[in-house]
Amino acid sequence: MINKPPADPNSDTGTSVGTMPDEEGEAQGPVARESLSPGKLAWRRFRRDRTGMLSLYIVLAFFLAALLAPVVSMLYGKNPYTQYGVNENLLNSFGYPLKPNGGISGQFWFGLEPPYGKDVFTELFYGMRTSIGIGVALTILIIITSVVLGLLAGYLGGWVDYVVMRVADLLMAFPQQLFFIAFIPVLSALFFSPRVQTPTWFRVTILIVVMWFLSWMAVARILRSAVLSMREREFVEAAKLSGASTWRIIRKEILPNMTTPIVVQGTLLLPTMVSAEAGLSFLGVGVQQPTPDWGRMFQTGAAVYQSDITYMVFPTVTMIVFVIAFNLLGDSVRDALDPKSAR
Amino acid sequence: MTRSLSGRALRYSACAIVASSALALSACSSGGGGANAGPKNNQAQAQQSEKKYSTTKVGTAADSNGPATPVPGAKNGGVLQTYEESDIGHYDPGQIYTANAQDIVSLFERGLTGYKMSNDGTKFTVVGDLATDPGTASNGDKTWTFHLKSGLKWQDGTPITATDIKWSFERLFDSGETNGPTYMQQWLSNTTGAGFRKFYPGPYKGKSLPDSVLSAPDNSTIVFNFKTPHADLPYTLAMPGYGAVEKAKDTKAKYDQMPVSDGPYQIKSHSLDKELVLEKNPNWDPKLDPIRHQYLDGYDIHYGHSTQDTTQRLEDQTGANAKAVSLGNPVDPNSADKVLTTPSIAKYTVQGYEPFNGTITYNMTRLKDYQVRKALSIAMPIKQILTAAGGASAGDLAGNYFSPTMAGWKQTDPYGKLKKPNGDPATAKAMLTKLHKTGMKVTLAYENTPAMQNAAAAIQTTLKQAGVNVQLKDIPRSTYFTQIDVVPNQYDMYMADWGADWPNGDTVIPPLFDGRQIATGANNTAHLNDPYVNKQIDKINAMTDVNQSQTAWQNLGEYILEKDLPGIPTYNWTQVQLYGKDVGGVVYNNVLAMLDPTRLFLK
Repeated sequence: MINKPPADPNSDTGTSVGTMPDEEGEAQGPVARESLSPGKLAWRRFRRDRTGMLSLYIVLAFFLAALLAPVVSMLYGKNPYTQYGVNENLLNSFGYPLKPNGGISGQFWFGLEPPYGKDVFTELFYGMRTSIGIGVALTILIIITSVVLGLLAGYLGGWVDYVVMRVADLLMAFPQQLFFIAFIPVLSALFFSPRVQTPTWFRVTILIVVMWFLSWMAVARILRSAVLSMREREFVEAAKLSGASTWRIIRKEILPNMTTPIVVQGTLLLPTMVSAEAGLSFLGVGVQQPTPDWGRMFQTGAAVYQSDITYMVFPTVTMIVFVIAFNLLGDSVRDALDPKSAR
Repeated sequence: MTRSLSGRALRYSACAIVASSALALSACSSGGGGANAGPKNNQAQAQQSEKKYSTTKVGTAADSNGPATPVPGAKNGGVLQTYEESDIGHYDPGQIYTANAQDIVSLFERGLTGYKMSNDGTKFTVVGDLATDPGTASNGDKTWTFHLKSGLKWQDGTPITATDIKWSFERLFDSGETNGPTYMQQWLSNTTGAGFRKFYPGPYKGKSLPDSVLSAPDNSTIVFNFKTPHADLPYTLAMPGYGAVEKAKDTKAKYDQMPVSDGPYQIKSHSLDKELVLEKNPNWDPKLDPIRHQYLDGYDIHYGHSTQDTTQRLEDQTGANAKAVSLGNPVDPNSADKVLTTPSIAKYTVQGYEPFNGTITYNMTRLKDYQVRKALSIAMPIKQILTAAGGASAGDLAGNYFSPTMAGWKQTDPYGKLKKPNGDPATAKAMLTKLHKTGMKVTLAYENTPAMQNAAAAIQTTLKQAGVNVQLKDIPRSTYFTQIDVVPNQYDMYMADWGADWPNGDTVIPPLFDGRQIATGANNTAHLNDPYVNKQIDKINAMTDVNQSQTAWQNLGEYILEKDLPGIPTYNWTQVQLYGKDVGGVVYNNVLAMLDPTRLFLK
C-alpha cells in the first residue's frame, strides 16, 4: 500500500475517505497535535472501512430485531405460537398453505409454516432472539473463561500452564457434535422427574453449559499465546523490577494489551456459536417446540422444501446474511485494532 | 406387524435429511402448496385410485385351485428393479414378521393358507395355498385338518410332504426362532407369553411334537389339535411367518439366509444390505398356486434406499426409473402434497389403508376418572396429530380402535371427534370445571421426532384452552416403546399405534385391552382391567363362527371406547406409493400394507 500524506490531518470526519485508512492515524510524529488514544485511532480507522460499517449496521439490525421481537409482534399483531392456518382454514389437507409461495399475503408477510400455519414473520424474529441470545451468552462465557485461563496459563506458566493446556487438549479431542447429541437429552432427564416437562430455561441452560464446556479451548489457547509473548516484553519487565504485584501486572500491564485479541476473537466467535446452536436445533437436541428457534426453522425447511420451497428462504437468507456480516465485521475490527497484522 | 417400530418410524426420520442439491432441482417449482390446492387435490385423487377399502372372507376349496386369475394385459419377461429401505435381514419363514419381510418372502415362500386378492385389490379371500382348502374344522374348532395339494415340489424337485409341514411348525419352538409371530406356538402348547419354549424345545434335539398336538397321518395330511377353539386359524396360517420349510434342507441358522423356495421365484444371490436377486423357480407349478404369478423373469431387489430417494426416482419416470418400483417405501410424506397434486405424477400412485390405528393412550393407573379421560378426549386435536404425521397422505381420522382393513369394520364416533377434529376445548373445559379439575397437570410422553414434536406441541396448545396443563416429555426414539411399556410408569398419556396381524379383532382387543395381560413389555399400555371386557374376550375367543366373532369384537371395541375409554383414536394409517410408468399390475395390497409383489409385470 502507498502511504499518501494525509490530505487534511485535522479532519477526522468524512473528508479523507479517499485515502488509505492504514497508517495515517499513527503517523503521529511530525504533525504536532494532541495524540489520540489507541481506541479512538482504531475507531477512526474502522469508520473508513465501508464493508466494516455496513456489516456493523447489519449486525446491529439483527440485534435490534432480536431485542425488539415482542414489539414487532405487537405492532404486527401476531405471535409465533398461534396456529393461524388451523384456526382460519388456510391450509390444505397435507398441512401446506393454500395460497402460493408459502402462503405469503398482506396478512402474513413471510407466509405460514407447515403443518399448522404459524406465522413465519414473527417466528423468525423470535427464533433469532432465541438463537442470538444463546449465542451471546455463550460468547460472553467463553471469553471470560478463556481470559481467565489464558492469563493464568500464560503468565504463571509452569505446572499451571501445563495442567490448563493439557485439559484443553483433552477437551479438544472430544467429538463435539456427538457429545452434544448424546449428553443434552441425558442431562435433561437427570434433573427433572418424568412427570414434569423440562422447562425451556433449563434446556437453554443445559445447551449453553454443554456447548461452553467444549468450546472455550481454542480462544483460551490464542489468549495464552498472546500473554506469553507479552510476558517477556520490556514494559512488563519494568513493572516487575519496580516491584509491582502479579495481580497489578496482569490487570494494568497485560490485560489492556489483550483487548485486541479479545474483541476480535469475540466477534468471530459469536456467529460460530449462533450457527452451532442452530445446528443442534436442526439435529433435534436444541430448543424444542413450541419455543421458536432459528435452527429448528431449518429443520422444518429441510423437511418441507419439496412442497414449499418458500419457507426455506427466510431462515436461510437471514442466517447467511448474519454469518457473513458478522465475519466481515470481525475482519474489519481486526484490521482496525491491529493494522500491522497481515491480511 | 404389531407396532410400527420400523415401518412408519422411518417416515418420520425423513425430516432430518439435509436438502442439498435437491434444493436447486425443485427451486423451479412454484413454491408453496400450490394455488387452489383444495380442488386440485380432488382432481388428482380422482385420477388415481382412492384410498382403497377391502373386504376379507374365508374361501372354499374351489377358490384354492390354481392358477391365479390372470392380470389383464400382463406380459411375460423382464427383470424388475425394486428399491427398498433396508434389507429384511431374515429369510427363514419362522423369522418373518415385519411388513417388508412379509411382502418380499411371499415371492418364494408359501404356507398352508394365503390371501388371494382380487385384481382390483378390494376383495381378499383366505384360501388354501399349499393346502387344498382353507382347512376343515371339527371338534368345535379345536381340531383342524389340512390336505396338501398333490404334485407340490420344492425348488430342488423333491415333493413337499406333510412331514415337512409338521417340521415347519416344530422348529418354531426352537430358541433360535425369536422374530416371528407366536400365535401357533402358544395355541399348540396352550400357554401364554413365552411359555411354549418350556412346553417343547424344538425338533433339533430329536424330539418331535406328540401326535396329540400336531400329526401328519399320511404324506399329504396335517392335523392340528388345540385345547381351545381357534376359529380364525386360516387367517393365522396365512401369515408368511408360518411358511413351510424343507426338513431335509433345514440347516437351522444358515437356512435363514438361503431358504428353499416353493414359490414362483427362488433366491439366485443375496448380498446383505445390498441386493437380493430372484430368478424363476422351475419346479413351481402355476396350476397349484391360486395366488401368485410368474410374469417376470426375476426381481432385482436393491436395499438401502430412503423414502426420499425412491420418491425422487419414481417422480422422475425417465430411463430405468420408469421400469422400477419400491414395494415398501411410501411416498416421502413431505413430498406427498407435490406428488398428489401434480396430475402427471399422481397418475402413477396407488393408495390404501394399512392395518395400523393410532391412539392417544391414557395410563388408567394414573388417570382413574372416566370423566377426566372423556374431557381430555373431547379436547384432543386429532386432526393436528394427523397433520403432523403428513396429513391426507398419512391417514384418515379415526372414530374407533379399528382400521378399515378389519373384517366387519364400521365407522363409529361416540365422542364426535370426526365432527370436531380440531378438538372442542370449550366443552372439555366446562366438564373439567364441573369436576373441579381445571388446571390439572397431565404428562404426555412422545417420541422425539420432528413430526411428533409438532403433534405434542399442538396437543399442549389445545388442551391449555381446556384448562389442562400438559407437561411434554420427549423420549428418544430408540427407547420410546420400552419406556411406555413399563408398569407402572409415570406418564399420563402416550402416543401409540397398533396394527392387526390379520383382519380380525382378536389381534387387536386381547393384546391391547385384556386386563390379565398388564405387565412390563406387554401391550396393554392403558392398563385397562375391566372384568366385563376380560370375560367378553374369553367368550368371543371361544366362538366358532368367524363372522359372528368379527361382529362381537367390533361391538366389544365400541363398548371399551364408550364405557372405559383407555385411549382416544387419532387416525387410521394409509399409504401412498409411486411406481414406474412401465410397470404393470401395480395394486396396493391392504393386507401386506405394501405393493402386491406377485402380480407385477413390465410393459
